[in-house]
Amino acid sequence: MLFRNPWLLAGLAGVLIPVILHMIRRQAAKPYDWGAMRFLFDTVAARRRRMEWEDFLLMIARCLLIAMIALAVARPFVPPDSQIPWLFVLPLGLLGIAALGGSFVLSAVKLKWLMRAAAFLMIVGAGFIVWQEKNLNLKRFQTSERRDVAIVIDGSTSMLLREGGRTAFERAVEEARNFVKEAPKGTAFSIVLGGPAPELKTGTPLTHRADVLEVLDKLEPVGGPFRAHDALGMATLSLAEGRGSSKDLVVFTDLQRIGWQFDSTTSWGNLGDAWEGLPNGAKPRLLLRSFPPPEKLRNVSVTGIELSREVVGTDREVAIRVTVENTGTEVVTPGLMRITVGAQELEPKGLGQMTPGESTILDYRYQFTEIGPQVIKVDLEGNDDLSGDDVAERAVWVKKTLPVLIVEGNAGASFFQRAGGYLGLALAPVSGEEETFIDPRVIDAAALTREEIEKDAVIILADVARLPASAATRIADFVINGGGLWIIAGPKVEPLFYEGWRGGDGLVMPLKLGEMAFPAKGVQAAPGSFDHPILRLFKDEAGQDLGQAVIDGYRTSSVLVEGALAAARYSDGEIFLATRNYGNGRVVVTTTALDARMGSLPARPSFVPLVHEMTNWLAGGQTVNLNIRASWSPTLALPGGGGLSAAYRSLKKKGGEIKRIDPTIDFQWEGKGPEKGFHQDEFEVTWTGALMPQISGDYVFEVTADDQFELSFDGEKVFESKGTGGSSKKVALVAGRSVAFSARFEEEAGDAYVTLRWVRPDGVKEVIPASVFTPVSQNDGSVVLGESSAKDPMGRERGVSALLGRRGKLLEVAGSAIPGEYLVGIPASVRGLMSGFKEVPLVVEREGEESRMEPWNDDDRALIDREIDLIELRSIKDVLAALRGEGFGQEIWKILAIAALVLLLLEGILARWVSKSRKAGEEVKVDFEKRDVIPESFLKSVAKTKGSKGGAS
Amino acid sequence: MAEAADHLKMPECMRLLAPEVVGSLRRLEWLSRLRKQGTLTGRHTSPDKGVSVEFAEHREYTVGDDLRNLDWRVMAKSDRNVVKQYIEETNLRATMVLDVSGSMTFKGEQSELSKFEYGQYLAAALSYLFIKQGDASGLVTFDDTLRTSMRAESKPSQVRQICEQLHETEPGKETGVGKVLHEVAERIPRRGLVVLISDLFDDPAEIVAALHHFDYRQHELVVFHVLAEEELSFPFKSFQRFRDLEGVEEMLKIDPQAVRAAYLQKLKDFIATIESVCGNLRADYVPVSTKTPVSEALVRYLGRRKR
Repeated sequence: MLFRNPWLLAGLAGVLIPVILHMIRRQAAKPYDWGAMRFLFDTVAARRRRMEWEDFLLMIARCLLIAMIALAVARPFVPPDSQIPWLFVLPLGLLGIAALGGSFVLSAVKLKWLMRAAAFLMIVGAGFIVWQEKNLNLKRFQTSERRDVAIVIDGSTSMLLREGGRTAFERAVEEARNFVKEAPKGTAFSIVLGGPAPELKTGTPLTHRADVLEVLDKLEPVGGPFRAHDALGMATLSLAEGRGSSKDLVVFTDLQRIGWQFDSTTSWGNLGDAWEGLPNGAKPRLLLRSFPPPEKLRNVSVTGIELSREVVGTDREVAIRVTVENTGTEVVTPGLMRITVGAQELEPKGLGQMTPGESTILDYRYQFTEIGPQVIKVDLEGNDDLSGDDVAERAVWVKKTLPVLIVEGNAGASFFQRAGGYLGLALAPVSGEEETFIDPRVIDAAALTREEIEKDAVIILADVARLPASAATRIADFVINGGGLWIIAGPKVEPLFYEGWRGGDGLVMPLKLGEMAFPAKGVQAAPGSFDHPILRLFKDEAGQDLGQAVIDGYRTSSVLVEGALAAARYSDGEIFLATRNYGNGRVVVTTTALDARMGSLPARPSFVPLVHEMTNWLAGGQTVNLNIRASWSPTLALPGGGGLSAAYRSLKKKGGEIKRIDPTIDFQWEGKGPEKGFHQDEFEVTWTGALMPQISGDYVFEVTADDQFELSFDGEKVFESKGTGGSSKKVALVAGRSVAFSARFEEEAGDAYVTLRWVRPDGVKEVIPASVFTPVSQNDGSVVLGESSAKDPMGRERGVSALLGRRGKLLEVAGSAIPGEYLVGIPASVRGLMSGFKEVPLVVEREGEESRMEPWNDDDRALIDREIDLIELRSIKDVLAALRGEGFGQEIWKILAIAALVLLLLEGILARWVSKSRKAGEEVKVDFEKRDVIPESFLKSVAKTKGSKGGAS
Repeated sequence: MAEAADHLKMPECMRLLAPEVVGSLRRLEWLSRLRKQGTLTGRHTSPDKGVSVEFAEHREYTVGDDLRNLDWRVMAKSDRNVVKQYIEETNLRATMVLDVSGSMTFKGEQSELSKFEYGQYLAAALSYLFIKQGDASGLVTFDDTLRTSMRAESKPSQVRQICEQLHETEPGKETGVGKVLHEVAERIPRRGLVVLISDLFDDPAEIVAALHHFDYRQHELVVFHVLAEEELSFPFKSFQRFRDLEGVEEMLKIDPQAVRAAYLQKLKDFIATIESVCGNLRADYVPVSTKTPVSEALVRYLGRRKR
């Protein structure tokens, strides 16, 4: 137990006040000469003990009362790693004081001095222990004790706030330097730079101060949000590596609420567990040096850049919308906003004065001229205190064309009765040499099996009755990989087929189709029901006539599948348009045929824009999104998904090796090799990965292969075939549970083909679709497909790796995700996925919330306090004091104050009771003199003779 | 005038006889109750049988008795030879026994006189009374031993001598009432009047034994139990240090309110004991508080004796 104001302990001398008062009272009583001592003596002897007890109790109550107040005023506290239990020291001291005070009341001399001796021992003992504890505490200040301190500095955008000419970050670094210089000997430091992803700037905790200062000097803010939780986790890990016996976390931050994950009690609980699990049992403290933002904050920020279309081509203008918001507390008049698209600068625009909370939207119109990935950059002259959020970027991948495949299901009919025809016209109105953005081609449904669809963006099934199994599987995989599918459900469709059409993400259809309905007067699309981005242009009645088209026939539908949306309805309430997301791609169903059979919709002017919007939206799934949120390291998801890792190895001496992803095992190489340059004979292929079926049940595997094939699940051979093929026994598989898949094919000579099919529990036989395969099994890590480098927004080089993970192909940039524009080199092995581009810009989005300086509230503090000792400090001196253990620990003055209050009450009651019982003797009277009546006559006679002087007595 | 003349003429010791006291006593007399010896001109009857006025009892005739005292009537009636015996009126021999021990020096705030001084005044007044009515008066002072002793004389100068003695007496130290009183009882000739003036602060058992001794010696005993008002009421409120006037007990530092009830009870018991003993011995128990003026106390007592 130690004291915050140890000099106030002098107040303990006040304990002597009751003693002195008692002595004075006794001394002041002058000796009274008394004759009737014997009566007193006997009396006193009997009552003496009781009187002494009463006086004794009163005295110790008073002494303790004063002692407790004096101790409480000296602010005692228990330092976190206190060795001696205060519950022992405090009562010891108090007991000593009580004994000392009480000794002055007693009369028995021996007892008196015995008590005083005991009191002396107890008080000295307690004092000694406290003094020892102070020394032990101080010893931590000396060389022998090692302490580990992890310094976390918030490098987020908000720390770039300027106050008095310096940013908060600069001030934090300066204070950290002072801290390092003045910290006690034997301290080992580790430094974590906080941001979207924390960076540990030191290796194991360093004790050499000069090295630590060097690290601090090199620190630069990273921008973006401060993921405090992650930074603390990293800091804790570094503390765990230190050898010190006491550990502390010192965090320099501006107390901005986001990034601390205050809404997640579990993640804080996990941190709390980590802190408790630190070695040496030293529970760390969290010393928070806060740089709160000034009361008056002048800040505007660019909070968003949006494009009017997801899929952008060079054929027409796109609207770029920039939102600027005043997130501060004062009025700000920003300067000009400059906007560049790629290398081209657009006309700068000015903004007027903005009041706090006001947001302004600026619209630009731009027609892209270049194909490929480009970055739109907005730079606002903010005239505010925080410039980090006056910049924003957005990456756009401008496509050259949008290939659309239209599958005509009503091929034999006349033009006006073919939906495909109308659609083709609508999508590419001008045929001829001029290249249009959307590049449609129409095929018959029968020709679908042979068509290559991988390069298309959207597939439209125009009133197609049914699909062959392989086509259905391919299209399902196509959608999962990001493609768009438009199903036009006209009179010819077979509802049963569509109902059972399944792929890697479940049922393909958002709807269950019913019978055709032919309302007498026809129905119209009801704009009131339009509820989808596709239909945003058509909601307003003026200027378009979608709602006026008469529809004579449509398919009734029901039961939306989970995850599907009814985007539009007819005037009679039935569903007109339904959408769903499927894997990475999107599916739309229209329940009317969109040709002359079913109504006048194709003839309306609105038809063309509708089709374009539809197509645009459907194509959105395939676009590589070059704008990613800040996270551990910027990671770009590459197109292309499921499949197996394939390793091709030539058994000939000269042959090569190929590593790639094969979506399915379905190859007919005939006389050629798998790839150019690879010998067509004597090679083996090994496919590995994982298989996760959608339906539970018994599966039978079949292969047609020339020459050899063998298949294993989870290391166990399922079957093998030599020669032409074979099938397996029933294998039981569970939906959602993946099994490690391994297959081997060997070609000796001649034709080479291999196709692996399965018979599902529901009887369907199909080539095993790519969607059930993942290229890596659970046990493997990621497979590195290639490496390159990238430049980050601060101009530094970063490593890039193309990985094949469980969720598909990724492009990962090493290091933390600082917001801004990166230029990422694409490794050769995956260039094909990125349309051959060698370099691609990547934008890590700035988080708009960072501009809003929402401070902590008390609940947040309470949450942290539950897991760790949270101490907020306003200066570096306080931090150092806390480190030295001066004055931080559990304060116990409250306990003493309450005890003193209780004692006060007790003393009052006791004193009252004692005085009452002592006053009880007042009523006793002694009748002494005989006051019997003397006859008047006698008195008279006496009176007469009382001499001539004086008269009656 | 007379007072001034008294003052000029009389020695200092005579201050003990205050004028109002003397004035009150002028008309009063001390009536003895017991049979007394002596044939002189005192007012008291004496149990001595002799030629005197009152008939006392009969006695068998023996050779040598005066034939004049033969009671013929009895002889005639009962055929016994009896002789009359007469109560003789004789002098009253009064001895004042004054306690001059330390405890008697207690004065207190409520009285002008300490118990000792009170006793002085009382003894002086009584001796004046006795001498005035022709009886003999003596004085014995004691503390833990016999201090002074003056034989009872009836000459008029006895008053002055007693006053001188009283005046010169210095209060002593301890009380040893019980033991000393036995000696006093023996010293004083039989069948006298003993006026004991004391606070009787001693072992009650010893006091009782001494009082019995007086009775055994056939003294008429009058006990003036002199106590101070403070001793009777114990009016102390705040913390006191009581110092023994007799220098025997240690100083007591106590809170008076705590002991008051018990002290008073003890005192009560003590007084009751003395009173009952005196009652048994047919001695007069006269409780006197020093607050009451001497004259008043005496008047009251003498008035009571008359009845």
